[in-house]
Amino acid sequence: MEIFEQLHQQNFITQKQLDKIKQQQPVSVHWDIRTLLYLGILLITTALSIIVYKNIDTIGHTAILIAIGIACAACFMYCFKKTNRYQHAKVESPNILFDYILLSGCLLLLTFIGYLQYEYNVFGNRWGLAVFIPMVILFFCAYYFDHIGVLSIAITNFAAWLGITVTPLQILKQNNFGDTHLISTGIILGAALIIFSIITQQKNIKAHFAFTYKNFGVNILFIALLSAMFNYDNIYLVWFLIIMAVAYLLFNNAVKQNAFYFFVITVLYAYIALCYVVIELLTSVGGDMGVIYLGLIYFIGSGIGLIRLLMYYNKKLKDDAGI
Amino acid sequence: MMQAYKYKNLYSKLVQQKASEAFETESIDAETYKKILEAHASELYTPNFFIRIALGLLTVIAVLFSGVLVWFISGASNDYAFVALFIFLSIACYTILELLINAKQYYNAGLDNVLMSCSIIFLIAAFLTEDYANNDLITSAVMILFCLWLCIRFTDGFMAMLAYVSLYIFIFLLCVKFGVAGKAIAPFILMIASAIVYMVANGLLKKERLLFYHFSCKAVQLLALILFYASANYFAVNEAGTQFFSAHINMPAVLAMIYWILTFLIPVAYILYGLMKKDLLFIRTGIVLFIISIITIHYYYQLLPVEIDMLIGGLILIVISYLLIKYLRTPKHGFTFKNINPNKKDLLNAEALIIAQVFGKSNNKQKGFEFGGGSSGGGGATGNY
Repeated sequence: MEIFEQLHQQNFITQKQLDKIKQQQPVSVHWDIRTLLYLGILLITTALSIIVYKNIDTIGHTAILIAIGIACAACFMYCFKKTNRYQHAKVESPNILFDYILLSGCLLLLTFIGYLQYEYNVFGNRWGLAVFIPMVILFFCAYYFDHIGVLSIAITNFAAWLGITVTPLQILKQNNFGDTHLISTGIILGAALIIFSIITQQKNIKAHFAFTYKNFGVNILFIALLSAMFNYDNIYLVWFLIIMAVAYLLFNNAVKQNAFYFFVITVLYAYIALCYVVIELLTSVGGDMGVIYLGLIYFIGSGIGLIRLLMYYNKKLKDDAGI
Repeated sequence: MMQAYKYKNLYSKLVQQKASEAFETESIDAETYKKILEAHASELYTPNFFIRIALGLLTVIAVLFSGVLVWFISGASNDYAFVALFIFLSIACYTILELLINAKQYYNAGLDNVLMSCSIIFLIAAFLTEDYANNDLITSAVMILFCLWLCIRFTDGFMAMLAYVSLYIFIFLLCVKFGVAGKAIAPFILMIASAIVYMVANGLLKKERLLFYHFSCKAVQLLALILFYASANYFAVNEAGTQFFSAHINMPAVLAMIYWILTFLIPVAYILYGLMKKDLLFIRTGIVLFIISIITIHYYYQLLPVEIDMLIGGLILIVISYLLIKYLRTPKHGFTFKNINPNKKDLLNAEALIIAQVFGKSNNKQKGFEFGGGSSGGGGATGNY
């Protein structure tokens, strides 16, 4: 508080303002309680699934399916009853529990349909349908109830429908990016998501969803392009040029929109591509000490160069959020 | 002055922060806030959050490959040469850090943090390359001093925490030296040490001369609360006992009882103290540690299957938070469930506009950047991801 007294003495703030600053305000435990609530819900849902898993022989599949179905339906009924009217703009959720109940409902829905397919083979060999139906419902929920978390699950399902795993932790582990089909799908999906994020913003339909679309899109696109470059090493320079072209477009876009996050990831992905090309070129020259030194100097120089570039653009992109 | 930064810059930065907080809680109006900012321009260089991460990563790359380059050029091959190499790299990192900060006043810019850490890592590597007698004790002792110096010099909270961790390890290693006797008293000595560190930090917090170390003191206090608990946690004591003390004597029942009591008493005491003093630091730490205590007891005694415990725990949590939400709807006993300012987003946007107005223009003029007309277009309405 000393600082404010000094500011008061220097006539920056009035006595009234000083008093208001000094006056003790009630401590807000809003996020603390919400975190506990979320933890509780997480514990119960996990516990329930373990109980079901352990007792599957005694309870019987039909009973479990019915129970999950009822719980899921209850969640959705609550949401439909409580929800505010749909608008293209952002809609605030009616109360605190709403978001959690909607999320639980959507997760239960996925379990329900997965279970149905696994145990009773309802969709037969049309596996795609078992992913497609929940995907449509999820997208509908995300838009109708305005929930970004559900939207992320929906996009993940969309990718799964196309055959790609895109959950952040598994994106590199689970996918065999040596697969030509997967690479082309990834490129198309990534590009489509980016384009869709632009449309979302231009048409102003849930414009705050644009970031989520673009985030998935940019990451999927770059990872697919990079694996294409690693994979087809006879024409890697062509892929390098494509990556640079994409990076250039996204770079300009990020600078224009003051989007620090996209700016940084674009620069870093492009840097990975550049490093790969430099290493490829150096190894094709030969493996003596001189080349290794050249490589080391390249990494040091490029690292420092990129630092300078980032600092330059940090100034150029106006830091709106805070000094 | 011992700080690497100019006093005026540090002071202005602090004023900016405090004014920002006051503005966000709507204690001061936009005009006042703007006036304060205008009078307190700071030259400290702290870029955007994401840029900082990227700068840190790139610094790691540059330092790593520079290290390899120096290694190749020097041709170091035996242990002594490596010790010399590591010391050289450590000093090099520190020197570059000083020079950069002197020139550009980098402050939590990512690259200064990485250079600081690299300097420490190289120094530790230099110490641990060779196996001397009491090597670990000496290393931790040197680390206490070095991290403390870095904290003082660069007003860095993370370094303050590292210095404290080094002290903790130092005391622990001393106890290990005493064998069985040390095993029995180590937890208590470590607890006393943590309590003293907490008190000292508390005392330092009140010193006006140490205004810029406020954050460092707070960081150390948080760590002290955690390590105080960790020193007495039954699992930690038991595991450390079998790992570090060669004697495989079972813990006496009385002592085990004491540790179990402490394992639960400390978090509860934190929570109660926090409620009394309206100190969220204590409440939050207490809750997290209490959960850890429950996991600890579950590790040793499984009265019920895990899923039943989880179910009960989850139900209790939901009931408690539901009751609290109802109870604190109107502020009671100095606590409230209200999200202090619901229109925070508007305030943040307004704040961004003010900051851009005050600092954006002057910066641009200095450096002569031309913005081609669109300069006001992005004035805060777009998401800053």
